[in-house]
Amino acid sequence: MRIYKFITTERKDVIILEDVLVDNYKIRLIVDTGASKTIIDYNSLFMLRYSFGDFYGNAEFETASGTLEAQYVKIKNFHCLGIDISSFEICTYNFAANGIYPEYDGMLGLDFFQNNKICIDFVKSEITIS
Amino acid sequence: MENQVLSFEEIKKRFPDEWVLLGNPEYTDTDILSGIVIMHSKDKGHIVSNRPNWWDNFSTATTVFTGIFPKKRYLL
Repeated sequence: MRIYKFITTERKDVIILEDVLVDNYKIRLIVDTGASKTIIDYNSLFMLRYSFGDFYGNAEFETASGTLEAQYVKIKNFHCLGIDISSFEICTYNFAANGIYPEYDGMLGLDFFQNNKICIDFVKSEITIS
Repeated sequence: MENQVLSFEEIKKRFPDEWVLLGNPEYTDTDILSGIVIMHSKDKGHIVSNRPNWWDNFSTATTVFTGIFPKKRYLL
């Protein structure tokens, strides 16, 4: 069992994870328990030497404001919450081109948590994973 | 850009409201502590479009914003 601290926005309605490494580039992800797939901004991946040639297929996301079209990419080494995953298939989307400039690089979806038990403690701002 | 490790507090003072690419950042679960400034810009897209080669000189890197984001925004 491992315990990790997280930060939230001032309203305490978003969980932000600071300690996420994608091929040795540190990014910030928000935990989205409503998302089935992890999604990372194109622009963050470009900082890691990924290019359009690494993206494939089409993934559709249903959001409250409509359907969003993303692509798949396999991340060589993904590290988050003490878990290392090689060749982790996620989705990528061009946040900036769609007018989104968030303080995070993407969203951690339920695909990451498969095979793990997690407990989110909003009082202590901690995630316990086992 | 000189290869000087700066605390994040110092980075915020020197580059207010900017996106900063940091080499070898030190951080905890919840905070950025320090790093070496590789590049900075008011526009995150400017940093990305330059595709700076950080990996030859640093083992890790990250891009952080030194300002405060708007509060009246919600996620879906």
